[in-house]
Amino acid sequence: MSSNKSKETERYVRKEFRKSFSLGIFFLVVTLILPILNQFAGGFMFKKLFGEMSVTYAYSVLLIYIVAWIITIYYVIRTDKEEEAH
Amino acid sequence: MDQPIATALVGVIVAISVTVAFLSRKFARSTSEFYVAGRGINAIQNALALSGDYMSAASFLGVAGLVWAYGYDGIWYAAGFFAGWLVLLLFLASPIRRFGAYTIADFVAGRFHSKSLRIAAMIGTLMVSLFYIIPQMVGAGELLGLLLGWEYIFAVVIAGTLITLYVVLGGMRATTYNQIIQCILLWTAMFVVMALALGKFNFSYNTLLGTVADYTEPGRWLDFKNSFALIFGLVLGTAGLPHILIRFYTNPSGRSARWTTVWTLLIIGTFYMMTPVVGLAARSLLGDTPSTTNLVLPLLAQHVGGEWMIGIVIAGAFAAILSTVAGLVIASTGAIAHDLFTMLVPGASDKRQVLVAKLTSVGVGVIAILTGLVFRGYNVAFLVGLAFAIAASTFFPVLMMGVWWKGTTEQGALAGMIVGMVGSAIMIATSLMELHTLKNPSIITVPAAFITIYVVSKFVGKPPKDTMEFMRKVHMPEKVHEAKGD
Repeated sequence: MSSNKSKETERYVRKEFRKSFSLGIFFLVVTLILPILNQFAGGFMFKKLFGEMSVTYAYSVLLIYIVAWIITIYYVIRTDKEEEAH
Repeated sequence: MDQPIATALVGVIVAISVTVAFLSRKFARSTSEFYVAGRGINAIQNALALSGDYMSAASFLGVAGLVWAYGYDGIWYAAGFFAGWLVLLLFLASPIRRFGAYTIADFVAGRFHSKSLRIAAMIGTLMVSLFYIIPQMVGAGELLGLLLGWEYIFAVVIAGTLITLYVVLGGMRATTYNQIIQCILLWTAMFVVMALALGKFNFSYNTLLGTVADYTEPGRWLDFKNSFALIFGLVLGTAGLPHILIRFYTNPSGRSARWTTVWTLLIIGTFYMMTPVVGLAARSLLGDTPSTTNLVLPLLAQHVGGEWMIGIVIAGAFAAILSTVAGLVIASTGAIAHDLFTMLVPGASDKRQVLVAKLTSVGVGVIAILTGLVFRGYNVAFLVGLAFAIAASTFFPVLMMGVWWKGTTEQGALAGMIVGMVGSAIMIATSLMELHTLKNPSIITVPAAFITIYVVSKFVGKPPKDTMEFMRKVHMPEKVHEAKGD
């Protein structure tokens, strides 16, 4: 492979990795922090948020899903646009 | 239980599955058609098929049952099964599709040009698939036996034969169309049960939660360490399941593979959001009545909707089992008939490869039936956990490092796969022997595999000479390859 193509590929892979890695780490933190918060911030997590629904319950049955969908849409639309522009 | 409506609905599913397979038979005449449906499955079709493939009996019956039994702790499963898909989207979906092969062994062997890695990936695929097939077959036998009054052996043989028939007749295309139909059926069944159950609480989630307040907080089953380990294992395990990964090969492009994942996240996300409602409603309405967790959903369906609803739920569970096992049969067939056969007989004609694939599918189907019979009464949850743990530890690290780090060497990849595969097996075996209390070993074996790949790659061997060609192929958009004549 020519050195130009090689450099172009390396730049592209690095850029893609930065994007995927930052979004992936953010989501893993959102997901994996839940058991940690339950363990060490129980007072806050078990507070009622809406009616009978506690913060931790809303987090596990709503927030994780909503965050995942937002990241998904953001990632796919951004990647589509970047690929178009490339 | 004698369930004429359920029996009739199961009969309808059988008839539809066979008809689809019969109509698709002309498509299964080349290896490309047999393994990847000619790479002609669009994003929404593939998302429905992937969702059907992924949502097994464990998802359909198991999660609601666990929420009924343990409340909040059961919800970890729903969140974990769902969250893994985002990891798959961000790191692996497009690159795997762009590589454009048939199996996971093709991918790692193509990256490192290594027979040893091909064999290791083949063994890993067979191990994961087998540990996943067994609980599905055991589930089929127990569920249909208990709910329809069928003999266990009869139920396992019927399910195994039907799946084998439609894989052999129609390959990936028939499997895809059947998975689409089965996905729609099981999602709809879950939705209707949830709606009817919520109706008993005036459609108020809040009222439902008020009746089961004790079950909405953690700690009934899993301690902190095991909650964390479980969610870690489920999230990374999803991104290493061979029968899920190979479905991305059926997309026409990397972009299409990304959109497939978007739709899949929507379908399975809405599905898993319903399971806590159903599980908690069962706790509130049925109390301690169900004798096992697997019966919670059918009994709730009967309670809220009578005989028709239990019929729909049994049909949904049957569909869940068929769609998942069919995906696993295709993955296992690829590992043997494609990875092994083409290595042993290089240059075999396409026609011969398809014949071998079909014969192998029959063999895998027979093994599925036999394992279903042998493992009767075995701990189903343990086997599913084993499959996820092995998938997360064996495939996820090597795929991640192979796709994203150009410094990965053949020796590093092989060492990482072996550490992941053997390490997870040892950890699970020692957990069963009560030598430690960690129920899901991925939290140790996945980092161990990553570290092994990194350290061994730094000190042993060199990355393949064409690593940058590989990187370009799997990362750059298709139109760049076309424009620059790659």
